[in-house]
Amino acid sequence: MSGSSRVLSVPARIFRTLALLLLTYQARLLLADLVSLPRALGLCLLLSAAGVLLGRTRLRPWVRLAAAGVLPFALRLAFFAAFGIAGAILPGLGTDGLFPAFDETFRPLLPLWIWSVVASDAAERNRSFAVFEAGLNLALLALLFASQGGFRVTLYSHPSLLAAVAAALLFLSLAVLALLAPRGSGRSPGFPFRLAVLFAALALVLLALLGRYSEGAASRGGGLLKPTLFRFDLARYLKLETEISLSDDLVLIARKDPVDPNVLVRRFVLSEYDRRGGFRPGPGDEGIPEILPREPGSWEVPPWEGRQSLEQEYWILNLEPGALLGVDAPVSVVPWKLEPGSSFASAYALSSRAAVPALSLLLGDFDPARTPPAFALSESDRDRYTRWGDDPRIRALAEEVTAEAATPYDRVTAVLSYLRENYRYSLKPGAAPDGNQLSHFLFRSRKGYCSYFAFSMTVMLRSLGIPARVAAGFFLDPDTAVLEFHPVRADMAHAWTEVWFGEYGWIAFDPTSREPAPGESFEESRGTDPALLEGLLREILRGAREAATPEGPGPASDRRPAWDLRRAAAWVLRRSWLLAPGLWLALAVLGRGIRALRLGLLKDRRGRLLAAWESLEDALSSAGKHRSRGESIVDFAGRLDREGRGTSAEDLEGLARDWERAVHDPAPNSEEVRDLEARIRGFRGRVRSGIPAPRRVLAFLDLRRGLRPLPGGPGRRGGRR
Amino acid sequence: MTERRRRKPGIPARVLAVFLAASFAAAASAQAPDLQALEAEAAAAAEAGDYGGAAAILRRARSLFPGDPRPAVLLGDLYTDRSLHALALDEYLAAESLDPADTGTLQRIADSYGYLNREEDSIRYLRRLLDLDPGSTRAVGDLGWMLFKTHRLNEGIALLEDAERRLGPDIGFSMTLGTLRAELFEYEESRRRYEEAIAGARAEGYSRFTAVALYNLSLLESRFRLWARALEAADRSLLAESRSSGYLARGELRLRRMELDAAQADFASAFGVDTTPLARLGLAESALAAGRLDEALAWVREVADLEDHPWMASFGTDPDSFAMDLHELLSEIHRGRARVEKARPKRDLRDGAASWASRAVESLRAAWHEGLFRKYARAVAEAYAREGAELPAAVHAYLAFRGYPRRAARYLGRARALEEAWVPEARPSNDLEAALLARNPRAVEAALATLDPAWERDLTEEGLGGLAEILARRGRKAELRSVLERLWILNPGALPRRGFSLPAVLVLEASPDADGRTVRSLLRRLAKLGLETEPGAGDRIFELRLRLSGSGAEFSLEQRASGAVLRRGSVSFGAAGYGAYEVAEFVFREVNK
Repeated sequence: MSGSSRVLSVPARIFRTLALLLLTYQARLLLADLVSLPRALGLCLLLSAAGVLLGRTRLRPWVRLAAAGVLPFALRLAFFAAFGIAGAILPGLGTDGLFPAFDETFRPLLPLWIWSVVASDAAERNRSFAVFEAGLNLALLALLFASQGGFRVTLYSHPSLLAAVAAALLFLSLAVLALLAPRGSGRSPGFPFRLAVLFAALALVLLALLGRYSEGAASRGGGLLKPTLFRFDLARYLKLETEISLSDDLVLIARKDPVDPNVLVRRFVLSEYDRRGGFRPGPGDEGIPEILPREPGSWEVPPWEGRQSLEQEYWILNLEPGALLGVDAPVSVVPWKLEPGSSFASAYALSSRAAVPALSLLLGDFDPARTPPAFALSESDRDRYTRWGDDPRIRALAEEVTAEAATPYDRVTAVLSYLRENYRYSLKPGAAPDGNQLSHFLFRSRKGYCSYFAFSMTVMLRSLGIPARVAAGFFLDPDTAVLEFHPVRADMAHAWTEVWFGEYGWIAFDPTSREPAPGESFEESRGTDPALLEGLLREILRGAREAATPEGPGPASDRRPAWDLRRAAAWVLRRSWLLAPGLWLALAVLGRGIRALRLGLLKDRRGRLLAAWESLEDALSSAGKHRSRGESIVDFAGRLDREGRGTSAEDLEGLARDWERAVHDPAPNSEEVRDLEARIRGFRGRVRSGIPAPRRVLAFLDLRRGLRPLPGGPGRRGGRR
Repeated sequence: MTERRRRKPGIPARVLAVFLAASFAAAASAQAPDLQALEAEAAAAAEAGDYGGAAAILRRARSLFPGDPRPAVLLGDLYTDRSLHALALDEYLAAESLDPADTGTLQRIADSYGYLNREEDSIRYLRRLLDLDPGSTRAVGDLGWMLFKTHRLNEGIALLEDAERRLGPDIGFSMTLGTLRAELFEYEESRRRYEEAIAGARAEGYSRFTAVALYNLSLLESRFRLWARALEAADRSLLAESRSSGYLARGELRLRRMELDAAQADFASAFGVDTTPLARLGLAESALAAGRLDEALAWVREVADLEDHPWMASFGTDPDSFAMDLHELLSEIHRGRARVEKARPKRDLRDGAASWASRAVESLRAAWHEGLFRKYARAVAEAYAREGAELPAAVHAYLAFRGYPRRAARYLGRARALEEAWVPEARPSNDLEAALLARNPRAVEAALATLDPAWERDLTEEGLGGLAEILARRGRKAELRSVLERLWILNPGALPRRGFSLPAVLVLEASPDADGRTVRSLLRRLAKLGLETEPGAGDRIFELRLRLSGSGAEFSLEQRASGAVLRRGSVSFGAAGYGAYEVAEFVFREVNK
């Protein structure tokens, strides 16, 4: 096959094959229990090479397609023949085992093997396919990770590895596009267009993937958890979902005195109730710590009565590293420095002022009118914490439920008991016909998950003028504690109500019913795998802890959290600023080096002349002298001479005419060729000396020039008339 | 202490100084924590159920007394008590670094390695322990057990017999020797050893040990196909003490007899006693045999996700063997689910497409687990081969090469030659395996005729099921019908999970106002299930009478020859009405369960 109709250059073929190997590696990760990595990569290489060879034949398309389906099996047969010979020489279980060992890799990935042959064949023959394949590879990568939906990617030990793999595949695809040989007809869409197509495909793939993660989060996180880049966090805006499911992934490990009865670990306080029926943090909630600071810190907590100090430790696994959680009112925190390679994203010790067990006995005497001024709510806060919407039925219900309650505490407990006893727990609350999920829950379905109960209690109390707010976090299950460590799973995300009690502060109440809705039953979580938990406990108990700045993308302690994708992606990019340019530079150097080597070894005289003129035109282009579309080389050279832009030592048009004559000479004289090359090099040197340094650097980094194949044959750029 | 003046102090001053010094020393020692006191405090906390508090106290003790191994040992014991064996091992190793010659610590380390299924490490520590204390019967017994688990049978036998000569008889030695001999297929010697262990334990009043020894004896009898004796030993084991293993052994034997309800009850009892995975696998097996595939899958899934298996330390299995059994079960379950999808009636085209997709997914899962089963079978075979245990190596190699008939036949032949030399009663089951492997219907029938009709009903079911698949593939419908009838008699639940339904003569009685189209559609669907109204079906054993009324359907399954009603069922579809699909699905479900 002539060089002019060959679609892929050798470097492009290499990058293409590397991309295929990377995809094979990903697929193998999913099937790691059975598939051997060396065998998988070896098969991929062999079948890809077979596809390339197939692409160089003159067989009809349908024959090639059939051959693509047969080739993997033919290869298998060849291997089995070799194994048979080995078995005859060295009979035994070892050599017999070669057959099933081969099939363990061959069978599960059979579609990939057929694809390797088909794609290599198609790329060898069809330029459009090579463009399409670059985008398809990214879609295939997304498909392979579709099974990893939800919150985290389980195939890699760290999410940054996934990012590196995706970046590598993107880079390889870009490199292939850059190296695609332009068409002889000159109708090449050009590198920018191909790049734009690739980025558009990537954007669509990422959107779909991220959309899937977001959907998965809302439903699998019990309506409370949402994804960040590779982990998740509790949502700062809670709304009532029509259906949720629960994941039992381990989120964090908490350690506290098992005797202490406080089991609600708060992440956020949500006081602002909006028209859409959701709760979000309000302006006054800024004082409640949410971000893990880089250094030990403390917060002012009013001297509420009925509190005692509670020491806790948190080991964050799959939650945002900068997340701060704690029981009740955090007073001080000491973040720990973790060893490299730690399983945990962050860890810290926290001290809280937590409610004493007997606090409920004191609350019965609470009278808001006698609240000391130091503990009173401001007008704006009171207004915010008693905003409840405008459904009169809710107020009427609250008044009915609390008709016989004498004190504020009695009113609170009346609402609490009412919800617990008359409503049922359900993961499928259903959709309200009018979109008002809360009213639907309170007056029709009477079933829902924790957010429904928390919203209901909060809104009902507010309608009575009792300041209340929603809190979101996790609950600790004493039954699953191992020693003093509480494994906390994603299905333990929880929402509850906090009520203001003046000098006693904000008191937590959990109105969620434990009774499942009729006809519904819940598959009890199998709990955390004991081996996983024990391994993590070992890490906790072994590690020497020192108070230090935790590493992570978190902002400073006085900034509001913004653990969204944009921030995390920016953090990733900031960290990888060395890598991308470094790779680019390496490619530029490597490309030019290989090209120079090949040119040095090139014996074809015409090819050498074409390459020489190509480099002269590159230098002229860098100097701002471009050949117009349709303009011949001689005309271009003549124009430059007339414009006086050529150097004075030699006229360019004469050189161009001599060059053309030599290029079209069927048997050019070697001495003449050498002389021409020398003249061209000399001219090029003079042009280059006039080019500013920055432009020369840019020209050097231009991968289109550095990685393109050597010109060969007529009809290419150098020989265009 | 304050600085003293340069002039020489008088006697009262000296007495005061001594008194003050003594007071200070007493005060200082009173404030310094006492290790014993801390240990007592930790013990009290653990006694009260505050294990976290006890652990915290012991960790503090360890940091206060870094040169004393006791806190680490006690902390390790606490962790062991909570089944945190990896944490316990860390503590014991720390204690060992402080006192490498303490045999108690070495024993604990060996035990911890055993719980973590790191047999070679356990062996290493037991050998060290025996170097320091050659008279430790516990260490000898444990080492013998570890040698069994790593398939070093002769080495284990030599160790224990030598220990017997040096240290005298020991029931633990006898039991382990019995197990080692059983693995070598030395029936008489193995039985003698077990009986020795049982008698010794009974004399000492060790009911638990007696129960375990009887359980092992039951396994020995099963290995040699002496089923009645095996059942007797399992019953005796349960009488000695109601342990999970006794129920498991009896459940397995009842599964052989296809007494599925009784087997399930035994496995449920085993699960009630302790929740080790073996009981769950037993429940999965009995559910699978009965055709309750979803239930079987639920039981297996609970086990499949576990990575931690400290229970294996006390059982004669290892992670690879366990994984092999697990994946074989999963493969059968998923294959059964795929076949049920194929056999069941379909509502419409959409349901048919969904069924096809479901079948494809289940088939892929079955293939995946079959691949893993063979991989682990190969690993087990190689482990046995390395230690020279030829028969188990050949058996597992046969299983590993199930997908490669020529090689599988070769290993089966080798295993047969070895096994039948010791256990002639194994011949019928081996004949059946060979016949199924060769897909030879005549050979399968011949082998089926030689199986024990009471104790090898499970193999009979397997043989009939395999035969049915062979005949179906060859399109031999008349023979297939006969085989399916025999299979149904043995175990109705076996048919759907092999992709079949009971063939019978159909007698349909529809009410006069029944929609003709519905009736015709129903007849077509039932014909696909093997229920046909053809008058020439004289060789059919069963007859299904199906009565359709306005609101429901009822059926009775009868034996044609005697007219005996074998099964009845009825369903009401209520105001919603019904169509041909609903009736066909009801018949398929009720007849084949």
